[in-house]
Amino acid sequence: MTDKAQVVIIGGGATGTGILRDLALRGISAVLVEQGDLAHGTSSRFHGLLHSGGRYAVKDKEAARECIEENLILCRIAPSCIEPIGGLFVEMQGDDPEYTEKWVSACAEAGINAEETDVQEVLKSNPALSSNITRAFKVPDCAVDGFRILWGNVNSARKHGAKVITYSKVTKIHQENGSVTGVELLNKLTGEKKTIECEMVVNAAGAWAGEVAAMVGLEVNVIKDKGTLLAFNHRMMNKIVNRLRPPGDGDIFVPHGTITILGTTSQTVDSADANKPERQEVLDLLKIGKEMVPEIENFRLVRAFAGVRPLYQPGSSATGRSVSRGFALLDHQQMDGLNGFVSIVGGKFTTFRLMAERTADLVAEKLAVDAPCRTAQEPLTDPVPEELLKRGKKVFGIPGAKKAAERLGDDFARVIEEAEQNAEKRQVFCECEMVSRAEIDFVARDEDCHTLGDIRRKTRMGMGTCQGTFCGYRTLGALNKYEKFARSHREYLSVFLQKRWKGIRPVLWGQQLREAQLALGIYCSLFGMERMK
Amino acid sequence: MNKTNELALDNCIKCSICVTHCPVAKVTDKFAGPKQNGPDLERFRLEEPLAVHPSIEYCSNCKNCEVACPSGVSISTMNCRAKGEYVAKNGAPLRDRLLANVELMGDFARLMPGLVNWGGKVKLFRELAERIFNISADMTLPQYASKTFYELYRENKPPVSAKKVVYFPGCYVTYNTPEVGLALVKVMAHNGVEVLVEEFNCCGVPLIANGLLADAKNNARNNMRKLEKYIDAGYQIVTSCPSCNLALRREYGELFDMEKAHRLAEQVIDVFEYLQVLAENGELKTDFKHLSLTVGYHQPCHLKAVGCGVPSKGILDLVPGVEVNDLDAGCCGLSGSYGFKKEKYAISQEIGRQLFQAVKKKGLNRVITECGMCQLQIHHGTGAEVYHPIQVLAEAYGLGSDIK
Ligand SMILES: Cc1cc2nc3c(=O)[nH]c(=O)nc-3n(C[C@H](O)[C@H](O)[C@H](O)COP(=O)(O)OP(=O)(O)OC[C@H]3O[C@@H](n4cnc5c(N)ncnc54)[C@H](O)[C@@H]3O)c2cc1C
Ligand code: SF4
Ligand code: SF4
Repeated sequence: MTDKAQVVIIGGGATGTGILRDLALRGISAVLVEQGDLAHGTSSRFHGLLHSGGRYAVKDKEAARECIEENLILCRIAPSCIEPIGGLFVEMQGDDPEYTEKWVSACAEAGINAEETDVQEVLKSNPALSSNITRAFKVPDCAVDGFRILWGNVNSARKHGAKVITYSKVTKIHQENGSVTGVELLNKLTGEKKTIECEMVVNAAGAWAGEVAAMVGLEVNVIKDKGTLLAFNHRMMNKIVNRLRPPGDGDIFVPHGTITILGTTSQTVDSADANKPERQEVLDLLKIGKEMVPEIENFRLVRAFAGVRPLYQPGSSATGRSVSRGFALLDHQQMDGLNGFVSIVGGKFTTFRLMAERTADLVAEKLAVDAPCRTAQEPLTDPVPEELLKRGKKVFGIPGAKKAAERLGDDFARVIEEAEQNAEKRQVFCECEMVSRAEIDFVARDEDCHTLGDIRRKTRMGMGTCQGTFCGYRTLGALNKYEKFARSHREYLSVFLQKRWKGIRPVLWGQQLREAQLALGIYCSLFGMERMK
Repeated sequence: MNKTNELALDNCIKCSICVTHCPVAKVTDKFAGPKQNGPDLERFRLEEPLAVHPSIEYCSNCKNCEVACPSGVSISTMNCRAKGEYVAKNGAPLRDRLLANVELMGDFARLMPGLVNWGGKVKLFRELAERIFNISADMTLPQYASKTFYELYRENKPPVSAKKVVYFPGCYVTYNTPEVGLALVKVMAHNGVEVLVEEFNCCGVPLIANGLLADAKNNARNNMRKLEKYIDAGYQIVTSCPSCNLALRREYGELFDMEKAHRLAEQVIDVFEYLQVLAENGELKTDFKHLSLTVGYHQPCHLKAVGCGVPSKGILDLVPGVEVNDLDAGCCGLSGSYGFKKEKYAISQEIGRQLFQAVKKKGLNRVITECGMCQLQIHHGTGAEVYHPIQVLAEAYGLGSDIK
């Protein structure tokens, strides 16, 4: 089977989907190829912080400025993906007061609005925080939902004719006479192979960018930097809290939806797939976190997870056109003489749109398409109409409706209709994250949906307190009637549960241990999964 | 420790045991249940205080969920707060405000108790009340006494004694069954304990159950002001109503964060707990008459929630001729104002059915239980005569003539 497009984008993370949207809005035909589900890589394994830039103000003014500019743009175009809760930078006893002064003026220079605030007020509204805080500053940090941004990009791109192929790995990049001519894909679910002919290939494979470049015999030096994060069971504070000192490990708490995320660690690894959190990393994070939240051990941890940062380091052989110290856009025609191949590496989630804009500018130039970037103006998602929310509240309750509306966007109306017509569909399958049967059914029918994990990423089912113990088997029961979920149910469940356990094992104590015992009872005793063949 | 953790939000392992113990969730699917309204939504409320399931009004505030939870989650406190948020935002129907304002109703009925009692039995009036206020026409209304407990107390002051306690009678004794309060005063006096009273306000439980938290807090403050001097002087505060006991012992601290709530909690005691201590110290008078009386005993949910066991049964077992049969059939279903509401009457009766059947199956025509509302519901569902256990004890001491 052969397909055709002007551009193939490798990588379904923030960067890749951002590029897809940008190209689609410029009228360039593009296909995005992702080896797993969307957000399979680092874009679902990050801190969820839409940086104000405060963190980089002292060390890297340019990166800080990029952050605040992009922060403001995203708040404008994607409000349903962002919680504009604001952030705090707190100086603590023993921290260097001179650094604070330096930071304050650096923020001013970068255009970040950092406003000093009363420490007592901060402590009163955030009793979990340590009374050793000596100064506090408000900054426009936000919490951002990576999944929603990605779906937003993809949905918008699809409306403009773009295509997305998931669960397909690019295994070869074809070239002829110094130009790329297409890519070969391997469908990981069916084993089928497929070719897409194209004029250009964009390598947006994040931590895998080196491997992708190697397919055309080029070297792109990406340092793989693993970071581990901890998810606590509830919102411990009402603002993002950063430690005001030179950036280090474990110094940011992000309240995110129903949970709080603390991180992160930093460790160079060999493989982009090395995302297994370790117990020692958890203990290290808790130790540092305790300085800001003295009672941290009394808060329940639901899981740990890790992602791999793609840090770009210009290699000895190639010096990239470093568009910013934060990320690099590599024009391999200029650098290596290979036509139609471009790599975009490094960067942050916060700056994905800017990275996409720069990449699409270059691609458009090469394809001689004269269309400006529109992603900074066009809303990413449309707001859900009030009337629809009202109807939603009737069938799903207040939080259920709000969360479903944010997740589903335009599709919310159809899910409500189903729930209105059929009372059974109003059942809440995932009670920890308020996901209804109607939503699960709807998502399951999506053509990109093949596993319980896919449903989880699209709905948050299984991401709350019980970590899939109850919603896992309930959801499987509902999938019964779909032919595409006709494979072994035991396999669906074990894959789903094992992925959950990967994050639970390093935090297995206290209440989460009790939860785990209950899960063990349900799956091993009640369902006899240990004995099942 | 911070407030969220105090409610033990993090302890919930989602086992749903609370749901299986919720009498409301057992009989209707209109209610999302204690887990969903409690620890599940509490996580959302930390972001959005209005994250309350609209079905929260179906919670009867019986507290069985909290008693059953193996993880010590303050489920019903979360529910009460959530209901409070919901009502603060959406308002409460006039009907709920009326029913919850037990004191106001009592004071009104006092003006002409005979007329009110008569009116409560006239079908036409009840049907009107159902149509206008959504107050069920089928539920038996409480009868108002011609004199309040405070009036009767002043007429029958107990002898002065060195041993003193304060009595918090609660609205049902004050307005509807003052004879219970009087029996208590006499039993205590017989044991050499002088009972002091003050004109307290409603404990607040009916207001809390209807989500009127600000009003309830007001009551709590007034009561605290009146109780303060007794707390400071080290008096024990005796109750006969389990809901009042629960309010003073737990709700004032958990819901209203009141100063001294902790000390109040230590000094509040159910009257039979008090008598039990006397018995343990060999100070309880045992000059009982032989009664030849067989009664069923129903344990009110709020007594369970207080967690003091069943002290009345222990004491009554000492009385010769009295046979107390534990009915052990769960919630009576009335839950204060709950069962009077038109849309909840059927639920309330369905919950109570097990208890009614237990009374009938055992062929009992006399039942005892500490809670005034349970008394009313059991009478409504079975026709049995229902008493407070203290009335039986007064009878055994030869101090009363209530038991028919
Ligand atoms: C622990 C941690 C915390 C972070 N916190 C923040 C934060 O708070 N704020 C912030 O702004 N940034 C943060 N970052 C950085 C940010 O997450 C990343 O920079 C960003 O997500 C990278 O997105 P991406 O699209 O470039 O890469 P990815 O999301 O990794 O996408 C690359 C995709 O390419 C796919 N792929 C690779 N090879 C192939 C192939 N051969 N065929 C098909 N598909 C392929 C992969 O499966 C992957 O999905 C954090 C990073 C880490 C590790
Ligand atoms: S208080 Fe009673 S009615 Fe309310 S949720 Fe708990 S068990 Fe159910
Ligand atoms: S609140 Fe208690 S009983 Fe209810 S689900 Fe949680 S742990 Fe179980």
